[in-house]
Amino acid sequence: MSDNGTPTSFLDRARAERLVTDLARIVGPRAVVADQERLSTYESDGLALYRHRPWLVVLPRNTPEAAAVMARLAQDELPIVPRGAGTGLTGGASPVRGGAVVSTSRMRDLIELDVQGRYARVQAGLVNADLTHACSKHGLFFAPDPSSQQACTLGGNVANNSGGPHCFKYGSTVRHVLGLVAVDAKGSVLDLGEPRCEPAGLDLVGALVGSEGTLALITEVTLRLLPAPERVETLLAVFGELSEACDTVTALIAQQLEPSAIEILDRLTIEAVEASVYRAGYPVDAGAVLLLDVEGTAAEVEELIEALEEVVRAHGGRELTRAANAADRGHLWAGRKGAFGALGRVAPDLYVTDAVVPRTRLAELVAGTTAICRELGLKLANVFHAGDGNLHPNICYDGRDADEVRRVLEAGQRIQDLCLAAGGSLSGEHGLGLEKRDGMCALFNQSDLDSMGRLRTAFDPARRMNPDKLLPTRPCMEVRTPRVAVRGEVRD
Amino acid sequence: MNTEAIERALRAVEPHSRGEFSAWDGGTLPLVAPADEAEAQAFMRAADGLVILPIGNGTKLDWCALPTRADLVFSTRRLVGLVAYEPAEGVLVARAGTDLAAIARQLRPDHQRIAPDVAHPARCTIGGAFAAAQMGADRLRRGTWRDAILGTRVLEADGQITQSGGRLVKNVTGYDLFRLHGGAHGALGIVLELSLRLWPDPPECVWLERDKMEPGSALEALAAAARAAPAASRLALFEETDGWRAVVHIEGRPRALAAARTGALRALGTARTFDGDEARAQAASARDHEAVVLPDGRMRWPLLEALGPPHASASALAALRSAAIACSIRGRLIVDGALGRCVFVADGYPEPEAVRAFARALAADTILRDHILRWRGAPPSVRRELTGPPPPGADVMARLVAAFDPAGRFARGRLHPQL
Repeated sequence: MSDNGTPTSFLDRARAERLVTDLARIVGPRAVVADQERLSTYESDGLALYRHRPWLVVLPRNTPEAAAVMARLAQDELPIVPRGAGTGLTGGASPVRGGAVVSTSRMRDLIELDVQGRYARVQAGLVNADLTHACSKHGLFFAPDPSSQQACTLGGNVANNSGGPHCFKYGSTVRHVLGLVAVDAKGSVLDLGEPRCEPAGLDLVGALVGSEGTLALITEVTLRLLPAPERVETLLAVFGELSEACDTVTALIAQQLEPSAIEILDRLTIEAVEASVYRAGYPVDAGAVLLLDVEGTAAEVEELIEALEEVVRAHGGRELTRAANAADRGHLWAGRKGAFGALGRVAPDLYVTDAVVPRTRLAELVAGTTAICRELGLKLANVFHAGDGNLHPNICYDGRDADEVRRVLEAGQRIQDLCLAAGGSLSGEHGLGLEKRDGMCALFNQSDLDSMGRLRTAFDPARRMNPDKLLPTRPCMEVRTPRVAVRGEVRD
Repeated sequence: MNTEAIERALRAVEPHSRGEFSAWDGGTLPLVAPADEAEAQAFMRAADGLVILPIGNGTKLDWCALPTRADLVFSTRRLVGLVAYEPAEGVLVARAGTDLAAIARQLRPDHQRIAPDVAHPARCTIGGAFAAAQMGADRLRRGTWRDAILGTRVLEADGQITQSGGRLVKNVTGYDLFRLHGGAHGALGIVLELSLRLWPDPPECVWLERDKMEPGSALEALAAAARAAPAASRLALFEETDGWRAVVHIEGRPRALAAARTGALRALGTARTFDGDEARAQAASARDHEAVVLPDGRMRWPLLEALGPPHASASALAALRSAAIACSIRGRLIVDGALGRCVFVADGYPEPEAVRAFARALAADTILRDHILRWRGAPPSVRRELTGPPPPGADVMARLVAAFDPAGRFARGRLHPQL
């Protein structure tokens, strides 16, 4: 653990006490965390491999409080790490330089639900599933549905441009953000909250989505809601081999069939799910299953299911069943959404990787990741958003075993290299955070990164917002990451 | 103007990459249209100290305020062709000067299509349509450029070519700079290449239309049609000399389309029906109806586009109609009610004073003053007056422009006089 979680790392004792007093005056004493025991909760996000203790945590209740907090922190030039529910998986909310964590977890209001206009204005700390729950009685839903949707916040979803199974049809979070309110490192409020389908001037909203808290603290979001489809059917296709499931997905994409979700779960994942409280009725003798949602009018759904059946059978699917009712559908999806939790039965720790690959090469690259883990003696469970080519090779390990941790990290790097060499990318939905920051040098040259740096500097000249995340902290020539070929040649 | 510097910049490109551009004030500007990235970079370096106006085919210059200064015009129109196209991936990479009709032709055999489906695609480059954030007729079904764009290669003010994003349908790697260029009209750099996600081209389509309707009942009928055909590509209302024409465009697989058609017909009552290629032709004609191609090849766009909440469409329509009559501006309205979009297509270029009066009337209207008003086809002499207050976040935008173009290499004042 880093030792930078001490007051003297940033301020002398008198200034530190003054800061805590001032912040308490803004948000109330209970909303400022400065004791070491409580601060330990904020050492990491969902990627526990990286631990850094912040010096303090502040929990504003609304945008004005957040602005006042940020302005006060600016006086002492503290690094600021925005944090939602801390469910991120790349160390993005890890306070690597200590400083202050500004948490949105007290900003949980649904500010406005406009049923006629089909949008919602929410505070950034509202939990994803709570929004859909609130609007479902009006026949509306919020499409992005990360696996952590019962815990993750909408502000966090926006900061990471999160996805989820149904983003295959509906797109990632950026396609559903109509506006937002953000507070910059100096405490200035940027109010772009009006629901707009198109930007007035430069698309600042589009730039802020996915910026991982490095540009500003997002405090409110205006989100597009969609009308619930007339009919939804959930299908489970069963395969003897994982490669058959992958090839089926490649064929579905090539034939332009558009279910709303296409998910693959492999044998180890199925076994873990079926042995857990998320038991969904997946066949434990299967090599893999494909979970599909088909949505639309009754005619659209039936027509599409017929076409899907043909493709599944043509690629070795030994069974295709349809959920009998909403409860059945719920069980099938609970198994998928609970898969990460269920994998806790396989080993105490889970290293969740995230990469995107061309959808025409799914089978080959899944086989490649399996080979890497086999060679390193690691247990690999695949559960991923196959329709988007978004792989999640999950390595089950024991964090107390130093050698196993070393092999896990090596596998992670090799899987990343494999995917990039095939034309893939570093992340489909988790972001880069701390973990994949230096991997940027494998995809972009220094000019590209300098250009991205201009965006960052325009928002935050002092670079106090979530420092050391997303962009490499050193020039690429000093980062020991091999460059991948772009257009058949390595670009410098 | 520094004639010597301009001559030096022009010498950096081949003679056949040079030309002349007819400017808005009746004068001309020297134009370069590089044939490749290397020539584009050479020009940028040689044009040091000069102010460059980036364009594609130059069809949407009227969408912006006049630049405060422009010494040279840089057109991407000779940077054409597909860089990568893999039908099974559903992704396309195209050079910025490729016209949208040419791209559509290449995709058709694979039953793929590009969105947005913009007006007069043969005249619009893909880079220009993106840089202007041009809306498509299929917006209801396929969204905006933000929904389609996956990455860009951009010529920056310092002559470097940079890329962001990539060629994958899902990707959150690095800052999505490419989104900032959509609607920026070249303020941050010149887009040289774009990667986009593609959409399946539905096997069948139908076009339904009913004319001589009252606007209120027509909007209600279209709302009912939307419920019957939730995946409709367009639901719009066109003002004509003898009333209003309501149109519904639905695409899809055969049985799903048949069911949606039945529901939409029930909503519209009696309607003319067009299928297949006839339906596609009707949809294209309605899409192109917004803009007029002038004899000199330029485009005259609708005078005004008003964007507001969909439920206010009927009120907005009435307010626009009444203001136009009061100001003696002749023209017709097109209303995409489900999008909250009203477009006023003037007959010719109205007199500047009439446009000023129109703008004043709209600003005073209780419904329209909360709408976003985009003046598209106003006479050059009044365009700067119509820009309105700075957009929210203008100070951040100004910092971005300064960060990407510190020396003012790209023409300024177009997004807003302050930018």
